[in-house]
Amino acid sequence: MKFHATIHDLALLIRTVQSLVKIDKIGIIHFTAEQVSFILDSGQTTDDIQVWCSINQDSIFKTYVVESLSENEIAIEVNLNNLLHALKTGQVSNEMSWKLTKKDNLPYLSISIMCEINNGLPLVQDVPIQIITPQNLQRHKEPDLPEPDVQIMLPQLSKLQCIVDKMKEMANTILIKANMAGAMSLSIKTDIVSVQTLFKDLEHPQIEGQPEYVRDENKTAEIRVDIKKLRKVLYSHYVNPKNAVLCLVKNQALVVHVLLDVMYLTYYIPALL
Amino acid sequence: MTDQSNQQTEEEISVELLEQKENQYNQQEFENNEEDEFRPVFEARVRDISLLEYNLAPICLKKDQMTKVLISSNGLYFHVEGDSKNIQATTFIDASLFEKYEYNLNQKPNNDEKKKDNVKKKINQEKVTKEDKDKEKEKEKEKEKEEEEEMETNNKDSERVTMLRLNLSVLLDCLGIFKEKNKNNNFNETVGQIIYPNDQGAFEIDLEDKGVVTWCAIAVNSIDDNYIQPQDEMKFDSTTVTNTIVIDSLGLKTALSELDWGCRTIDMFMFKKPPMLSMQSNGQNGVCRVDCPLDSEAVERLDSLQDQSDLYLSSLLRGCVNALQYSSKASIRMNLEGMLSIQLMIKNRGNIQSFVEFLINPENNEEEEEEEEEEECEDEEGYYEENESQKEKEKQYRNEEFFDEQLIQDDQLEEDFI
Repeated sequence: MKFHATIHDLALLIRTVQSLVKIDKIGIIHFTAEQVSFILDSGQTTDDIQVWCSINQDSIFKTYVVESLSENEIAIEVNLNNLLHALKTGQVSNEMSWKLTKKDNLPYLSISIMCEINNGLPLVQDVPIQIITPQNLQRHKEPDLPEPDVQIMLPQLSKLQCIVDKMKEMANTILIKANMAGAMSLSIKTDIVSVQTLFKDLEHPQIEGQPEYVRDENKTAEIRVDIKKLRKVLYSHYVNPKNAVLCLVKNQALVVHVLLDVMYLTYYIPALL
Repeated sequence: MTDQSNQQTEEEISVELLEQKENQYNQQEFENNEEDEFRPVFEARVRDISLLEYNLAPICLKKDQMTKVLISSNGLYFHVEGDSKNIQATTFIDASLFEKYEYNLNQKPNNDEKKKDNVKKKINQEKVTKEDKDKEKEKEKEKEKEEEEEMETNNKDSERVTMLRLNLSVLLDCLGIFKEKNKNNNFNETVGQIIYPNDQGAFEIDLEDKGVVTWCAIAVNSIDDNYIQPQDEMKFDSTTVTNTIVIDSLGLKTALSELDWGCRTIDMFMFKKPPMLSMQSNGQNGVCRVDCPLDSEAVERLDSLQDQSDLYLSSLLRGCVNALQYSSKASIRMNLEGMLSIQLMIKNRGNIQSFVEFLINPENNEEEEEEEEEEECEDEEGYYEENESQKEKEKQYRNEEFFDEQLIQDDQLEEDFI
């Protein structure tokens, strides 16, 4: 098993990990020839948010070598806080390289940079990891959900986060409603207060390979989710996405796709019944 | 079952809301639609929500702060009382500062016929259980009695007011719903509308920011055990003011931030010669004293009739310190009883002047409390009055004594340093 690579776009990587670390501490990084994927699914046992993220490897890495006995794919489990810490330290230098190493029989992701002081001081940070076998990796699968009832493009995520932030102070759960005519509403309701925010004139995504969508006011869907979970998902505005799509699957889940040209983040938020 | 009916109601509401939003911000349609037939008790529109936020945030002293609201044709009066009843914060937002301000007490709508009201009521009462319903009945009975009494008193008064009680923290959360943390200019674009339809309704706030609309309905308590009658509010006796200082808010905030807020009490001294305001914290970590003399840049004015000092709970003063960020100037007055009146001139957008006032009672020491209890037991008026003036004299004397002690201590300190 061999892995070494040099980083090309550290900023994007840091922003991604910053968004992910808000969801969960532990994540799986899956290296393949084309993609680097992050999987945060808490072992699929709890009803927490699941995140499936995939980045084109050549948009982050300059050089990239992945070799293993399982079709040249490697999967590791890492503490995202540690990873983020190491990445942030690496911001001082232009050259960062990653390597899988073993010290005292324990696997590490060695992140090394050359500091620019004193004619170059090598700095190596070893992030402890666990190797995930291909069999174990099989157990992590993206949730298989039916076709969403409503798909709508979200307004600016940072703006949404402010609104959800204030709502979080007042209630525990939030009801999200949308229709196929560009309207979406967020509402909370308690004994003391009820608040509803309405967005109009939103777009709907055009999905490749599917017929063009038809504007339909009567096609609506609503889902109730935990407010804190929704707020965590909205931290994805850190990556400065090009688009964000909200999919409502009635009684099951709220799916948020955050999209950039070179990567996507998909969040699955379980519905509260 | 309830879920289904709730869902239906919500759908009805959403459709209605979409219709409402289209109507509301088109002024002509708004005036012609159903609402004209029944006019809400109170309706106001403000071009910039920051007017409300900047005047209400300073008086929100804690999380889940309740406030009494008095709506009159002159404006909105908000009254907040601290838990210990030793601090009171009030603000008045003049009707002229609103783009539209309508207070209609004579028109009482017939609720049963109006669909919109029922819909809005349903939102607030969805979670009502049997117990709550019983409580509501009691409240309604009490309210009827109150209304009768109010009618009697109001017939005598020319100025009618509507009194209600609501959660100020929730109100501020609603007002700030479009506020982004890092941007200061966001409020320029948030337009707000407040409607209080009737005595059984909720306090409604509609906000619009760049095409996005938020509608809030805050439950209102009109009767409560803690209901503060106007005559029970704290009042500052301005005829016995001994010391006044007008100081720049930033300067005062900087000065106060030097104190040790971990300590329980803070001494406020006002000196005649040299004219100065001093504040001192006595804590476990030591004594810290900050002086604001008249010749300091931050101090605009200082009038001192006599030296005076009093102790105040730091937890009470902290509320004022947090409020300073919203103001440009602060005026602090101390009267003979030691009550502090801190008035803050709020930094509103545009050339708008408004004030927020804090009244803080001093922290009496144990000796004084015992004496007061003994005195209050006396029935004969004459004796009580005599004692009161005696009390004041004693206090003055005690203050002077205190200062002499203080000066001696200061001298000693200096000697130590030399």
